[in-house]
Amino acid sequence: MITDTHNWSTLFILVRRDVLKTWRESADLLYPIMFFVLVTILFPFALSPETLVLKSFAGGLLWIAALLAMSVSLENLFKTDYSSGALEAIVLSGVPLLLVGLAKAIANWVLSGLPIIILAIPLALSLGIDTFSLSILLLSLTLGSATISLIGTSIGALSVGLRSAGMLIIVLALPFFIPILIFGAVATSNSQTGLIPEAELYFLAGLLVLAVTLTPWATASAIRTRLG
Amino acid sequence: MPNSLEVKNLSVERSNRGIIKDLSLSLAEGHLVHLKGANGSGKTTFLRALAGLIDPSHGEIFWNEKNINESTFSQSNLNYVSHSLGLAEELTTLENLSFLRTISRKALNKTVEASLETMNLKSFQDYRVAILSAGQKQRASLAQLLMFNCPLWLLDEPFNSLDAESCGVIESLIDDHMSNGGIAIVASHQKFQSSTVQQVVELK
Repeated sequence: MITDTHNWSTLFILVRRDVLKTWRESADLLYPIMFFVLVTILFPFALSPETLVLKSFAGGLLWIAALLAMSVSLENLFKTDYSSGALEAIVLSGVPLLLVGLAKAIANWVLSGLPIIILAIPLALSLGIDTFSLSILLLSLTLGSATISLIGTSIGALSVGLRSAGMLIIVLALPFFIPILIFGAVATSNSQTGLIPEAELYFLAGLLVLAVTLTPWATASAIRTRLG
Repeated sequence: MPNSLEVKNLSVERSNRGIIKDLSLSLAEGHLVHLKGANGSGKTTFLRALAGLIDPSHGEIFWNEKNINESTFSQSNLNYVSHSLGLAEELTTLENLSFLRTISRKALNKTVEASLETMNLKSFQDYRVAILSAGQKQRASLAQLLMFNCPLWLLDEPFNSLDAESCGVIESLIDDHMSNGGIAIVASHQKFQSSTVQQVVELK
């Protein structure tokens, strides 16, 4: 798919631009991260402050919060680039649209997936997760969040040019995200109960490989269709 | 082989409404077309179809006698400046143009700095696009014309928000392009002074 060094450097430039753009629009950057932190912090108030109770729900809770927070970040993936005409300018630059789609997904993961994984460490420890389960949680979040970014970018591209597309993106994306949520949460809870979480992690890794292979094509096709 | 653009019986429909109907046009090197028409007459749609952003419902477009849908015609041959400008508001003028120049597969011409200098924007190169005036944004977008060496220029309302002096700069850029054997289609509802206009097409 990416065959020469020019394409690799173009991919890096596209990712850097998206990261810089979102970094400067701090609300876009902070919203999903704050969402993740707040949902996780509020959960003990509603359920129970007991460590044993929190520990048993921690994996699922963190996974739900992460998935919803990442879904929130998808709405703005193409929004400003479409309204400013920058997306059109990128398409007309002759750069392969596969790279554009892949770069958007990587930038989305760097700006929302990665901070969520990092923040999951103190939040998981505060919920009573042991270090082995924490490592499984982080591994599953890494695999799952990358897949969410890739699939979410394709679905975000389908909504280019639509007003108030946020809810539509979430509704379209959730069926794809549910297997990731199930296997991610089960991997963590298995590790907490002494079961081996290998199968779930392999499944998440398989999904990631599938997403890397297929979603850039889908995103490229969606961008071209929606701009036309 | 000299460059040529030929449009044969082009029709474009959007939501079952005919926007462009059976339009034909033939342009050779040094040929400048002024595309006129009221708002909604299809000027932008026509330019977007030529740029390959919209698939026409009927008709064909030939670049150098090859159908653009069947040949290896790439957007590297054209400079399309749309009225939506194509600049990210969060980035500076320099960052926007450097980004486009770096990723582009087009033949390069002037540097970003030299292009901004010509457009009288050098002192604003580190300002975010969001805080520039409408005229400055328009000039920043038009600086793309200088950065790339493309034979075909498609300009959508290039004189929007520009003062008389800036309009003069753009017109002289177009004249230079024409005298160098370029082809250009300029969509504008404003009066176009350039002496190199060879054809006026009015869309209704």
